[in-house]
Amino acid sequence: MDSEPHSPIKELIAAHDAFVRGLALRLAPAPGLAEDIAQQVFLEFLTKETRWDLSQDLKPLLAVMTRHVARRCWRERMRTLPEVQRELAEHICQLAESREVPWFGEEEKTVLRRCLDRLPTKSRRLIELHYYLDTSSVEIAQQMNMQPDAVRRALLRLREQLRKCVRQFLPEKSV
Amino acid sequence: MNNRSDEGETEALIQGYLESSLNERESTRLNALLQQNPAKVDLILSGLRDDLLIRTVVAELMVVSPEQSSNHAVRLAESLQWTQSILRLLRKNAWTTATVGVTAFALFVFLWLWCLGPTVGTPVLAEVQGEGISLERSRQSIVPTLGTSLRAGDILRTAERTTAVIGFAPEATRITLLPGTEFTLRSLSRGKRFDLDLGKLEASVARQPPFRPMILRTPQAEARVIGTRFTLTVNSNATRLDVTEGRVRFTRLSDSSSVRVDADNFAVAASNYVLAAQPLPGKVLREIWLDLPGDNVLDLRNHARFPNAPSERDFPPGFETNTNWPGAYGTRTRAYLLPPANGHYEFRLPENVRNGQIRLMLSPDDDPAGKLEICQIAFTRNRPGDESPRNISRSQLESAPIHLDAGRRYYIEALHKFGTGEDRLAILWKRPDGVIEPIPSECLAPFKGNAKREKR
Repeated sequence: MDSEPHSPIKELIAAHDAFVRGLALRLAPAPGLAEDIAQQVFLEFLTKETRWDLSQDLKPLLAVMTRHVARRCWRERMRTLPEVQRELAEHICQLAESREVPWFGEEEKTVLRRCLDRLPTKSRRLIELHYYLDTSSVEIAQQMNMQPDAVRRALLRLREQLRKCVRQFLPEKSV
Repeated sequence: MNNRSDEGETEALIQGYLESSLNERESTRLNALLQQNPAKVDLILSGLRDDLLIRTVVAELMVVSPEQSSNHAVRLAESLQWTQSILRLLRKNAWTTATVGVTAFALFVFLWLWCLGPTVGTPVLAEVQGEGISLERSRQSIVPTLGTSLRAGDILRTAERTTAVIGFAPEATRITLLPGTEFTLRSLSRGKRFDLDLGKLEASVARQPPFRPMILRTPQAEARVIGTRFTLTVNSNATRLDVTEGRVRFTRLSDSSSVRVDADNFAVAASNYVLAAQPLPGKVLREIWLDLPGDNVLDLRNHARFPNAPSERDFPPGFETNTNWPGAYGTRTRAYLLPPANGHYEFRLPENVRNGQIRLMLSPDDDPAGKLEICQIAFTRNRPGDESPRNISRSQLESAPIHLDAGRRYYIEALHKFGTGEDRLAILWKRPDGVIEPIPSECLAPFKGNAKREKR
């Protein structure tokens, strides 16, 4: 059986999670990629755990690892895209590199949890299908007897609704 | 007005980008909009960030912890307090009676769905084949019979040659425990939570209510299920999930990394094994071009019908063939190679090929674009009456040792062109432990190319 990572490592990952995800999002601004990159970075970090001096500031190391993994994942993603979509993604990537992405903390997650709980059942189902099962709008439309455009609009509205809800409880920050 | 419609268009295009559903025209349009106003990239970044935040929280919500169960109790208490407030309001103001009545009814329906709805179908022992089944309840052993209701905390064990089925009527969910399995019903209060400590189960799970997935935990992994058919197998150091319908989120417990496993795919959670969804093994994709003259692979590659118009396609269990088809033909056999262990592998071609040519290519990943030739064999045509091949030309029967990782998949392709005589294709490998064998079918999964026409 696999052993659980040591708790100092766990704490360390938790402390740097936002940093890695934020950087990954800027370096590879494509849907779902930041999560994969962060996961891969920490996996590689764990497999070479004994090499690192955990008493030092790990941000420079994690930044290098994130850049490396992000570049690899981005290349792989680009390879699967048709030319026009690839041009768009590369343009977005170029613009994103100079931007700042404010990252979320535990407080924001707690507030969002409350906001999700307040949603009606149909909206929660939509959230679950889209964000948990990665179901496409077309598939959701088939399952929920809706038009694909209506699903996209509903998702757009839901994101906006959740953003407002979080702002309401977390006035100084925005989602 | 124009600005507003532009805003609407930009929002719709950004939503399309976030869902990866933009077509070529929409992509070009969004690219043009970004060139006009590069600051719009902030909307994309905030959308990606929001999506990631929601995704993270939703994934956490799908797991029930004791803390969350207590939160649930708090929520119920809050709902009751709210009901009392409504009653007080009713006494004061008759005008709101109708509205409050409707609200109360809606609240009642919501609570009923939340607490008593179809979430928890009572699990019962629906079928048993064989006699060796035991039920442990509160540390006491009970002999279960058909129809025995199962409770949280119950542990079911099936002996060798015994199969048991747990039903959840009126739900269509059924879990079949195969011989030698130990299965614990951890909790049923808010979604179904089970432990599979050892053995194998097959499950057909009806759609579960929102945020209440069925969760199956093993010593190495966790499978979260909303509605699907799958098989879960546990041994002392690994858990394997095979999905035949729908999709399952599979999480490795040691590092919390997770992967979505779709239908006709499997994943393994174990140490020294990359967690990834792989196509179910046991077959390779073989394309056959019949009546194609020549005995050189170039005769196949340069033919007008190659690669997009094969005479037929089939899915044999491996590379090994001994077809003896009449006439000249060519084949392309494509698969994903699934190495069972980390280490160096050597690939070999058979020496007893009578004529024709075989070329074997391997990619460093699952992308055919990166394939490289690792070995090849070419025989000149036999003359009528020859008992053995005249000579072997440009042959490299063995590849160099190639490092492969267990859990990753590698694209492998064999091109085989055959002229006349006895034909045979076989690919052998030397595993890191030194065993030389034909690549077993459980280490091969059929290549699933896209429908686009390929270039030569």
